Amino acid sequence: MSRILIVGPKKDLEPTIEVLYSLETLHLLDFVEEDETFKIGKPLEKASSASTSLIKLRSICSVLELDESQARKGGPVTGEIEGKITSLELQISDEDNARKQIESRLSNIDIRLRTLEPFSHIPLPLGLYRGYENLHVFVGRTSKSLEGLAKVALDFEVYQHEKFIALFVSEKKASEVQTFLNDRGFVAVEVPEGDGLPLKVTKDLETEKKNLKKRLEQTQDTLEKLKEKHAHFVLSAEDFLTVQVEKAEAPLRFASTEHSFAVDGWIPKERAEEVKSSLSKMGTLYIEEIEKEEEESPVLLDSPEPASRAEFFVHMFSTPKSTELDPTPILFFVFPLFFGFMIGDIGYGVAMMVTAFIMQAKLKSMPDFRNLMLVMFWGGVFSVFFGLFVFGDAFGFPIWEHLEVEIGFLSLKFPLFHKLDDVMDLIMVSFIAALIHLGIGYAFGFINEFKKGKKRHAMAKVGWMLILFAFFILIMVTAYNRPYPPGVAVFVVDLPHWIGQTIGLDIAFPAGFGFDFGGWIVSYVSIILLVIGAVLLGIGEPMGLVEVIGLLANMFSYARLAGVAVAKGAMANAFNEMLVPWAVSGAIEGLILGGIFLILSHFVIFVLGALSAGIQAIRLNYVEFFLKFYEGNGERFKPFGEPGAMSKEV
Amino acid sequence: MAGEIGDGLIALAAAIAMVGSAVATAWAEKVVGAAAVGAMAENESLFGKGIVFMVLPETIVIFGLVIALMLLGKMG
Repeated sequence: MSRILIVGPKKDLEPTIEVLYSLETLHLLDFVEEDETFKIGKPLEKASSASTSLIKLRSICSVLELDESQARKGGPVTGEIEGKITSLELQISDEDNARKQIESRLSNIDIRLRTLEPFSHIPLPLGLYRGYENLHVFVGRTSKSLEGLAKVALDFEVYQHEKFIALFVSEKKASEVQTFLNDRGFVAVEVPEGDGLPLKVTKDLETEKKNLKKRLEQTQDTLEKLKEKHAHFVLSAEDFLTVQVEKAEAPLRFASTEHSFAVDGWIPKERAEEVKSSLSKMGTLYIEEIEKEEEESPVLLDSPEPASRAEFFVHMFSTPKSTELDPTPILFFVFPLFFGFMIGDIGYGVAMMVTAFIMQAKLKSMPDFRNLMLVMFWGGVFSVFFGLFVFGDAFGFPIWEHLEVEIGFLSLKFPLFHKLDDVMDLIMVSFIAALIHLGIGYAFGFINEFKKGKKRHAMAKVGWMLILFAFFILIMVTAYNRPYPPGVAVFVVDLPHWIGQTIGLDIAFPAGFGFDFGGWIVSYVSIILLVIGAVLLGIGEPMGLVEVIGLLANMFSYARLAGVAVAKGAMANAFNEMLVPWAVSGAIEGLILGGIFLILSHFVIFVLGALSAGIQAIRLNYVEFFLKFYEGNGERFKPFGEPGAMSKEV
Repeated sequence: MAGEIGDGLIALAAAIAMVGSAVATAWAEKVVGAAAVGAMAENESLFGKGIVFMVLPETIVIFGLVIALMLLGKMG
């Protein structure tokens, strides 16, 4: 990244903004430190009218319930925008006001109808419930019968419908009656305003409601028609004005004096010349490249296709610092690899590929989701690979058995592993994955520290790597010396010997060369590596020594690769064993029901498998791998003029 | 016969190691996870930090797994 400073007279401000905006390559640095001479710039004159129109447009959008996802048919807007917006606003606000009035009247009617409902069963006009001097009226609900009221009230008149009562008593007896009613769970109900028989009032209201509803439908219809007619204009005008406002408000991020302005920002090195030449065409600008520490620059991840698809994974964790190595290419390879190993089945792999392919084509408007789908597609490809050569599974059914192949000194039996029988082998493979993945992590860490000039920390990374190898050998030799050693451990321990044989040398890894520790053979080689590693680590990062056992935990964490693979294999196997005999039993209902259940169960396994394998694969990268070297907290490169860079609130 | 009972006891011991450490991990992750999601709701960029803290307690179950595997290695 190059830091660039552009200074020019005020008259060139607008054309400069136009050029910078169209280049989409300058990461603006906001000017904040005002002093006597340099002030924060003022927005261009058109800013206020453009943002007023934009606010109008957005209110139109919300009235018409238009949103971003709606398709924009046709080209950009042309002609006079502001006039069109104002006339559209007038049309819409009339309809919108009418709609709001009708809606509020309707809700009032509903409330009134609810309060009138109990009164409608009593044939008294509403006016008769109030306005007495010597009479007290109790209106409400009571849960118990009014037996014995006569003794208390002496003279009274009561209207009753179910639990609702309207009781008229003399004012003198009011307090006694109140007590009597309270004992019977009386809850007072307010008498609605107005006069006339409740039944008739209700009927009138119902008619009014019906008419209002009809009118509401008409207004909504009109709005719907307006929406259809103007959707394209509103959305594209919004796009256009957003850009206008962003351009017009750009000076707020510049420094300015009375007659000049200054723009400060970062440009990717390879585009610096292009920017300079486009700007210098304007003649009066002064452009200067400033020497600055690279560390302060924003970060633009630029992995080649298709690895750049995994960039969002890195940003999701944290944008790297500009001085750090970008882990995207490793992530792009390792995530699908781990995913594929955990699924390890041709059937699910193909299903994953198809699903991911369809989803990425359908969801073009969501770039991050689309990228995820493209990465998952490669996960599907690796699943097919592992399903074909390593596990020999398709939807949990074995596709081939016992195919022997001789490659040099190796005689391989395909499929290499059985998911349910060779669990220990799968765990050993997980350790190999741990060794390579964490090894790359420490190598990245070494390079990062070395570039920063922190030699001691770089040395500590070497120490960590040695300890990693020590643990790996320790685990492999331990497994090798078991009564039934897993084939993978035998392969790893005997590998130097075989390689030696092919090139005509007699090298053998001294697997048995170790001491007996309560029945465990502890390899001397691993102890030596461990000691050297610990010494390097102790010099580089003494506190790291406390964490050494944590590295062992990190390595065992990779056993989740084997764990998920076995679990998915077992699920598929279980469903197949339960449902296949039913489906092929010969009975027609068995064929139909068994087939349906079989498809359903495999669908469930597929969804669960893709979810858990995806989460576990990304987690191994984020937690085990990244923490070996990653600092993050970098600033993302956001060029001025990039679509969608501006927030939607004006 | 004695060997079979011994093997059974080893298998049980391995199971207990797994159960204890797994429950402990689940408990710890529940607490951290709830807090992490809360923090993420406030500030989405905390996702990276959140996920790291969230999975820290997993170390416990991994040690349980190591012990269980070592115990199973002792079976005849």
